[in-house]
Amino acid sequence: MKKNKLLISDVTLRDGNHAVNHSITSDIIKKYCIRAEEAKIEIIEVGHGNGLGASSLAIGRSAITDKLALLTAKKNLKKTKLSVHSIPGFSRIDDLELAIDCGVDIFRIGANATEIDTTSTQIKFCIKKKVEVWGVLMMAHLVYDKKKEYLKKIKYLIDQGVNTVIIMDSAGIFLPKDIKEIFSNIKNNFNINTGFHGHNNFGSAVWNSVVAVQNGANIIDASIKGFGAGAGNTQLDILITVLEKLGFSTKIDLSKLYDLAKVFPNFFKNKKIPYRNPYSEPKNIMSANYGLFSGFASKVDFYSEKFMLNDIDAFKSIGERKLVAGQEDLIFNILYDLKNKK
Amino acid sequence: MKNAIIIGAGKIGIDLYIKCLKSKIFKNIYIFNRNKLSEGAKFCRKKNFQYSSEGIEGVIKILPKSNIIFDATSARSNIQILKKINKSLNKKYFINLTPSKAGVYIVPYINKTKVPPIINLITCGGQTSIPIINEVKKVLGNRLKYVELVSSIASKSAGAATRENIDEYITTTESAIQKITNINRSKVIINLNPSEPPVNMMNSLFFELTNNLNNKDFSKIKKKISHINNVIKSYIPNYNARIFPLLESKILRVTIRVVGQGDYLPTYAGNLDIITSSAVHLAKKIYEKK
Repeated sequence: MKKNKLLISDVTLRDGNHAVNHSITSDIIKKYCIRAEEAKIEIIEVGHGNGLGASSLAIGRSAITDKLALLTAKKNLKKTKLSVHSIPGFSRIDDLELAIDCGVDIFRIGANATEIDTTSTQIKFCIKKKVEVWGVLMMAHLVYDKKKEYLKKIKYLIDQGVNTVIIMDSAGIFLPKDIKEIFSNIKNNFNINTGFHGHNNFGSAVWNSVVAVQNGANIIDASIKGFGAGAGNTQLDILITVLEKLGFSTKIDLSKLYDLAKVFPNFFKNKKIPYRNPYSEPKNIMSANYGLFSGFASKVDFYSEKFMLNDIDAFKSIGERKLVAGQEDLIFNILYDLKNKK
Repeated sequence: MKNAIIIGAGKIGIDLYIKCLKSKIFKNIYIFNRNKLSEGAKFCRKKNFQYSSEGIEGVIKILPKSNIIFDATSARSNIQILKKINKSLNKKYFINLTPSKAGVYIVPYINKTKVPPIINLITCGGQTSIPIINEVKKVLGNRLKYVELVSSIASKSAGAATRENIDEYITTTESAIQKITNINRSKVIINLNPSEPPVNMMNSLFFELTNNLNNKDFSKIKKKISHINNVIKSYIPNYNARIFPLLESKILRVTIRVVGQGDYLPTYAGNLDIITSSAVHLAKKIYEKK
């Protein structure tokens, strides 16, 4: 298989939706897509923080429908490809059909890495429809062990017909040494396109991404100013600068990218939920240490405030219950019981 | 005494076999699958179950001397099985435990009298939540705009068919909620949790209302829920629904924990119990009458 060159995939309008409780509107998508296209970003991902079909009371309702979000993005993109994140259990085959109709170019089908076999039906559907499909190992730290369980999960995805796999550090727990081990093992075992999706809880998202590239990754997910769930994602503007500095060439126009970073917060003026710079608060550091999903942060904040709980205590009790991405509904129960125990 | 056939020797098929044995309704219980090397097949042989790996061909052979067929395969296999045996069913009962849409949706708590010949037990999430959704709808009527169900089950309780049938699980649960309770807007989400030790099956229901709930209706619903708990406990001992005080405006929350009886898998697998216990409960009802 001929591998792709280094591709940058911008997840600002999807993972960033976690940072503003899924309130990104179509005018923000339009403004962002126009500028991202000018900056020559290759791929843009759009949607609810948990992907297609995930707008819900349990996780948070999107300000706009998937259809409007995707059509708006597609209308404002020319060369830049449009991707979606899809987690079976939230999304269904109908959602994929809708996304195909909206002109989505890349389908990223993901699941918590331990449950990757739940993606098979959707992957096969995409292959049947002849659309580009990638496999995403979310919460990849759950399969990062001495037995190299992650290699089995990647093999599973390859057996389904996928030749691009994204390692998603949903908890923001990985350190550069972990990334080096994971990507060099992947390179030694498979001839596929591999990508890394970082979170910045330990302040190492950019460096983890660079180490991934140095060890064979050819796709990196990043977001403008690091705008994303919890402590935020790999900061796109820093990442491109550092990669260029290290001699990895990307097609991205740096000065246009810096312009985008500068104006991005203005897109949220007069919006229901204001922009704030991503930052790893003590609770985000703890969340990563427990291996919790970054997307939990906003829910934990909301209920800690409602129940007048210390957010550190709140994260501790959720960490002890080992919730995984998708179990946002139980944050309420755990914190409700925590409050009533006191 | 009646004879029963169970098709599928996965987690649900075997749990059902054990529950059928305990129920003492049946003279013979036969269990079939296609893969004699599967974990379930090994278990069946070890326990001396009346097991065969002849699949549907084996089922057809003993169909004439059987009274009830439980299908514990997958949504796709269910459709093929029904095609093959539908004509020879006559007065036999067929209970569909897969998430396919074949048969009449039945929740024992709601359907107290009539039992149709082809029964669809919906899904574990559907069996667990529809009694509650139905009662809440009765109290609130058109003030109930939307209902959402989020089910979390332990990874270890989800077999191959469950993993392959995530889509069918969602669409069938949503369609049964709409059909039985007349709520047009619903959303179903399912999660598999890999935590060790495994987590108990947990379901969250979110009811979105047109206006805030008054105290009178809240206590009405609360009463109904404790009634449901009592009724369902007669066949699923550890079914426990819990209502929460209103914290967000216009949103009512109910959670349901189902702890299994630990017949095949340990007690965390309440998702197996809710559907296999419902199946045996129905069989009891069918044969008690006659």
